[in-house]
Amino acid sequence: MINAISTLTSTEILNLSTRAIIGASISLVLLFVITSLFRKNVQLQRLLFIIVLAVILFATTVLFTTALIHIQDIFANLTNSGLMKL
Amino acid sequence: MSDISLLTLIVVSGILLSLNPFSIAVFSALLAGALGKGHPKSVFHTIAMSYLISYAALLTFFGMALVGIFSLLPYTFLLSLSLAISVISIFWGIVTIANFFWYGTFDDVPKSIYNVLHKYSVKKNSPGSAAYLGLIAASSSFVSNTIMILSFVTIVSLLKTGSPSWMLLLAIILIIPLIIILISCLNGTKISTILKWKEDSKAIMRLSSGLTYILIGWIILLILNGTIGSIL
Repeated sequence: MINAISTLTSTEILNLSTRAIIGASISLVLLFVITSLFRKNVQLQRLLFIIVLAVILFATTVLFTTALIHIQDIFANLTNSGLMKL
Repeated sequence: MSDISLLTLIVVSGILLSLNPFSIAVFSALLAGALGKGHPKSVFHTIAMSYLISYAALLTFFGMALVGIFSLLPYTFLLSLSLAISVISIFWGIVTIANFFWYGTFDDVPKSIYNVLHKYSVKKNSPGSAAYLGLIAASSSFVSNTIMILSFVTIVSLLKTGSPSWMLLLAIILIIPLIIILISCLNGTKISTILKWKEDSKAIMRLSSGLTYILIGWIILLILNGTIGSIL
């Protein structure tokens, strides 16, 4: 995943992040609507929590990876320009 | 991210995070204790304001100190630290959401503090004890308060608008529900009604807090990956 994302341009990272956030937000809203409808079903609550967890972790992984790559680029630029020594 | 967007983020997130069942319960107990003792109105007001001011002052002082510390950090270290804080914020959001599904499973307030809270809210009901209670209440939910303030300080530091006044604003927003409770109590609303409302909606409060922690964590990551604001 890191290799795939590292080839993206900044515009593509922006689009990917936006899609991840919008997708995750819509999924979470739908999941919590379903959760509130079936509040007394314990088995379903467990399943819904796992799905909520998966959605959150997926979006977080995408954002974290893109952030990590962006930070590495910044560090590389700083090292190349000699600013890291300051 | 402009100052208006940051203001909106702090106000909206602050309101969602301020709906904390623990702080509402402690403040309601303090008000119930003050009403039970039959204090004159001026003493009742002083007790409530002592609690609110000390609660907000501790959070403001902590936030301002962190803003100061973060402004001294090297920029490269700040970026790495922000990455870690965003992950911690998201993790805490998931823990808080788990509280929505199974309430009380992951409580960050130690059980040993309840006797101390009862002593200073009901038994010793005076302006001095109320101020001390505010400090205890703000520090009891140490984990959630620390993660919340750390996340906001990180956003403020990353956007290079490191003004400590944002932390004062956040602290004021965090006590807004308590001020509303105080006003409604003065207007004749019973404490039992407030506590019933708190009991009925405590799971929803945890859900909104949890989602806010996750949102803040995502916003930090969006700043770090260059989608929001500009880094270098």
